[in-house]
Amino acid sequence: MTELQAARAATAQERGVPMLELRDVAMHFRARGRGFRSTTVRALDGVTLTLDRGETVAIVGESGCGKTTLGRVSLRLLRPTAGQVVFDGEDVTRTPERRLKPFRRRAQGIFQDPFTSLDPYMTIGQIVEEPLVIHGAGAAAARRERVRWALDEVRLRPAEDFVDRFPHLLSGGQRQRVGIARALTLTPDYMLADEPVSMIDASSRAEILALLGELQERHRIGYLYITHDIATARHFAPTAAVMYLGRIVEQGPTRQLISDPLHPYTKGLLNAVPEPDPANRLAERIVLPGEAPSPANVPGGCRFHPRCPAFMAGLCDVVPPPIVRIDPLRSVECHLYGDDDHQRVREAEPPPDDTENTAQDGETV
Amino acid sequence: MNGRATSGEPLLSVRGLRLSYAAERGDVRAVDGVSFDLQAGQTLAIVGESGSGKTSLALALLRLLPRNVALLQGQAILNGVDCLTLSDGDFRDRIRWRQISMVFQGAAESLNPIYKVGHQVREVLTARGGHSRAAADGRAKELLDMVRLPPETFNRYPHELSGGMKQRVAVASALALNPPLILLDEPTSALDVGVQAQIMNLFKRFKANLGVASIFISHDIALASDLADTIGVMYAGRIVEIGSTEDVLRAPSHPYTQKLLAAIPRLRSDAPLEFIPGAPPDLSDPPSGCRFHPRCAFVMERCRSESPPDLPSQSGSAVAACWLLDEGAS
Repeated sequence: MTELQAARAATAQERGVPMLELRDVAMHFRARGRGFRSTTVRALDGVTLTLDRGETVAIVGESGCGKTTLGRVSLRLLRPTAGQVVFDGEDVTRTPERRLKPFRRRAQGIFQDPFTSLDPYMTIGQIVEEPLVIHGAGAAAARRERVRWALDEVRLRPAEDFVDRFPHLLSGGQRQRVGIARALTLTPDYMLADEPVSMIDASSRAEILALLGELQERHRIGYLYITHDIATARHFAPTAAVMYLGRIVEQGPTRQLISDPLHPYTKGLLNAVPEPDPANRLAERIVLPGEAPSPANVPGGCRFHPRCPAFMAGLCDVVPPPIVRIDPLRSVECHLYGDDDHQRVREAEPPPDDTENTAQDGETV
Repeated sequence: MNGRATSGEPLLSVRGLRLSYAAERGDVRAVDGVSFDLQAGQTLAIVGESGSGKTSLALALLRLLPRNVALLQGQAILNGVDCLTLSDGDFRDRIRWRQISMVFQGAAESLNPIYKVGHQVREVLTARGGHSRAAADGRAKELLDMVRLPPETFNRYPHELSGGMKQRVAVASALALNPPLILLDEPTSALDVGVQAQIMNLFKRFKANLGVASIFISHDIALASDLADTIGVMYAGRIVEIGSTEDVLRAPSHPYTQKLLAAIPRLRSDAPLEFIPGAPPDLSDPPSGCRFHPRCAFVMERCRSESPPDLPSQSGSAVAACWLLDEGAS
């Protein structure tokens, strides 16, 4: 971090500005529909979220809920079609790529698949060094020193044994640590962790999560932990947000979300999670019917209404539910909690923004 | 509940199964002496990490082996017939689909994209079951209904279905010829947790209503407990512990099983997560003695040199290959 950046970060903190702020972010893609028509895929549809240094927030949801898109927007790998991405009080939503380097230095990501996210033709040393080269950080000798430091931080020790090896010689857990070392070389303040342990054997997952926790303590990194696995979220993230079809439907302290879920979707999700218990086999699980519809075809009213066990006809299928704040830390977006006892944060979600994203190639669903 | 406690001939009896693959660095001993019994209508879960040999075990039982098999020996007696000594043709005509069918992790991708779903389920019935086309159509529709797919699915193409629906089609095909045994190899791993629970419910129903036995292969011991009467834990090509689901989950005997359970993040407990240091061994050159000894917290001198036999655990029904259970050890 340059002195200027450090100073800016310090002042931002004094002002009480969160490190990362997503304000009502939407990400709509244009995709090919039937015949020559095009449809709009509403991957994200009005998501607001903040993350501070040293904090971990989990984004929990099933495939297609928009959690990965959210992560990519947070790193400005995608430019959202509406809303803002604000980092240390500075709006980076429309910042052109050539001026994003200072942001990129401070916001890094680690990703799900440690088998394909590392270039097989590069050595571990080259992989970890690459961000330093891109950002012109230091002379060759200093960079090599930095690579050894990063490998040591992720406990690939002794670092000398790893720098000249190729990724295919490493186990899944070791590869993921290379990915973490690579993200760490620039000592970022923010790290997106998109399903970092879901392809790693159960016996090594805890090791990777513990390592991320240690790095957070030492370097005050803020993590956005994206996962489909609410159980790991409990153990890794004090706060969690549950996503469904492009919106956060419930958020709060992770333990409370699990012990006292409010949204019918959160309840359904929790019912589906198996715990090792011999009694499991004796009864069927209570499950939500069907599967989430495609984000190209978002139901009106509450987007969860076609699958909701608490569906109220004439309300849920017509009126988008308000975000209801239950207490300072918890909120839920559901008509069941729409009483006046709770303070309504906002009457309803805004009308869909149909601005298409022209900066990116549309993805076909 | 354990297979050993039930009287009568087991449906499947596997003895001393070994399977090795030829590789440049020497033969890879993927399955190295596996034995178990499975009673009719029961579910045995085989749990283990990647590389433990659990999928190779499944492939050996189904005789779906790659070309580089260097060694296949042992017995797998299903309803009195040794599946490993039958000719390929006999196995195909008499056993596969009729006696033992399968649902794989990628079963959704195994559907042929250019044929309608109904055609593909029907094909199992006409080609393998000798049904007439009309009878097969009726049965295919019945099967789709059994897996809770709407009737119009019969005339849909695979790309029109979601991953969960395609997996249901695979389950329907597996049930087509009423086999007494289904092999389920990570059948829900590619699915979201909600759909996974739906498919597990489906398996539970078939187990209860049709009396189908199954071997459920998974890396996820929590998921295995959703269906399994018996759990076998595999490590480095061997079953290191096997017993009733109650015993294995509540009082695991093998240090590997204990660690595996302690590594699972619990939804409703804050018990600190443990992990197993190191990585599973290279099966072309497995460690001497107990294969888990380089990673075991309780390693003793004997573990490094002598391979432990199956020993009865404290809890009764389970057996574990660990010297800690040997009376002379402590």
